Amino acid sequence: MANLALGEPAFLILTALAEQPQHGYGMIDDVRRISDGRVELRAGTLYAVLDRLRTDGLIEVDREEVVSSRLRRYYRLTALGAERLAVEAERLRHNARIASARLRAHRPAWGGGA
Amino acid sequence: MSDQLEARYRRLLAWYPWEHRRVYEEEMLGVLMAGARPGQRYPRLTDAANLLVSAGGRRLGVAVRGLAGVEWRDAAAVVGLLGALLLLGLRLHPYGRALAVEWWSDEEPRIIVSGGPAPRLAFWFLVTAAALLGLRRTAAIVAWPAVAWETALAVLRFPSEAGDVIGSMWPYLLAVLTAAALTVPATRHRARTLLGGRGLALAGAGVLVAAAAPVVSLLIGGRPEGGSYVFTAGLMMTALSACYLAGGALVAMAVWRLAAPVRRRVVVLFAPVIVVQLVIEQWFSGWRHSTSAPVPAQWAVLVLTPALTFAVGVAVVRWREERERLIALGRAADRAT
Repeated sequence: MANLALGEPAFLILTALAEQPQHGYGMIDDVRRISDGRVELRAGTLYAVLDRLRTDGLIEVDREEVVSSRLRRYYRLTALGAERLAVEAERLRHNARIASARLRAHRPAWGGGA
Repeated sequence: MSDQLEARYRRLLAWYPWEHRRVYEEEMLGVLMAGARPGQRYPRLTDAANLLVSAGGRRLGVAVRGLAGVEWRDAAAVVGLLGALLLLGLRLHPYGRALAVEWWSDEEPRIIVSGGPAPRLAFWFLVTAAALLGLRRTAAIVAWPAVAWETALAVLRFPSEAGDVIGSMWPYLLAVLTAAALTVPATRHRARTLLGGRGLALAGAGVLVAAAAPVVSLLIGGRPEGGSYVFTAGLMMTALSACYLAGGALVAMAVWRLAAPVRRRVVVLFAPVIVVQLVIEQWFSGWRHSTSAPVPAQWAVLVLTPALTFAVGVAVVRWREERERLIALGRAADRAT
């Protein structure tokens, strides 16, 4: 499982939780901010990913509250989740470095980007 | 207004399987309501579509995991053994008929050996013997080449006998089902343990009665007259049908003796074979006497019918057992108060 790449929604959710424990709606807001508005998580996708991350031991429930008569559950990153996020971030950094270097080498007029 | 929106979201969330709703329903509802605009009365189309697709994926995941359960594996073990027995009986049939005809015609009885029936009989004899001896892997290893042989015969006959090939589709489906069932891992002698000695004897007797149907029908329907024999077709057909019904009833009694969860699943596994043949008898009977190949719509019916029958069967078993679980929970709670 550790060798399989995380999908973008899972990566962004783990990134959101790396800062602090959050509840579902908070994660949707934070993911929108992290992705500069590019990724809009919907409830169905969010909870499918959360369930998978819980099953894999990458996140766990931090606490539960009742707000306006509704259950609000906060999730936090586990140590395994932090390690997995770090590995994935490094993998993406590595891929991005190679992509940028090749663009600079073969298309000098484009500037290669960062 | 928010009550209406909440009710509509709950109807969408109801599409999720209970295993998911038990843990996440209230939380998801909180997220959905938190994201709603003031005065919003209907879920956004994108949210509704996202929930339905997600719920479908969860249901499929639950169903696929459920198919890996021990009851399904037990049912597969029983179907593998019973299917092999039924196919052996079916492949003995032409030999029983040939012997009966030659016996009545006072000729020296001889076994007709030809390209089609003999290898099929040999294959299914080996599969049945291996399955009865608890050698499931060996039975599966022989069963798949048997299916390949049946496929090859069907493909060779199809251009000139399409109606006959389609009309006799159920043994082919049964062969595929049997080979697949024998491929599912099971402990040694699992099928025999589940059926028990009596169940196995009933199933074996049922197959023998059905295989002996041609002999019985000739004995009952024939009488000597003026130095030769006269056969009454009506009596013969009645005797033939009675033997098949009796054989089928004996096999059904063997299945009935199984524990309910396994029995239901055995019925679901055999159902596609039975339903396809019923569909062919009902809706293809006219076409069978034509010389044209099936049109795409007919192929679609033939391919989709077994898949849909199985899917409906799995859903019905799941619904039935979930209902029984909830009733048992309710009774336990009632007793505890």
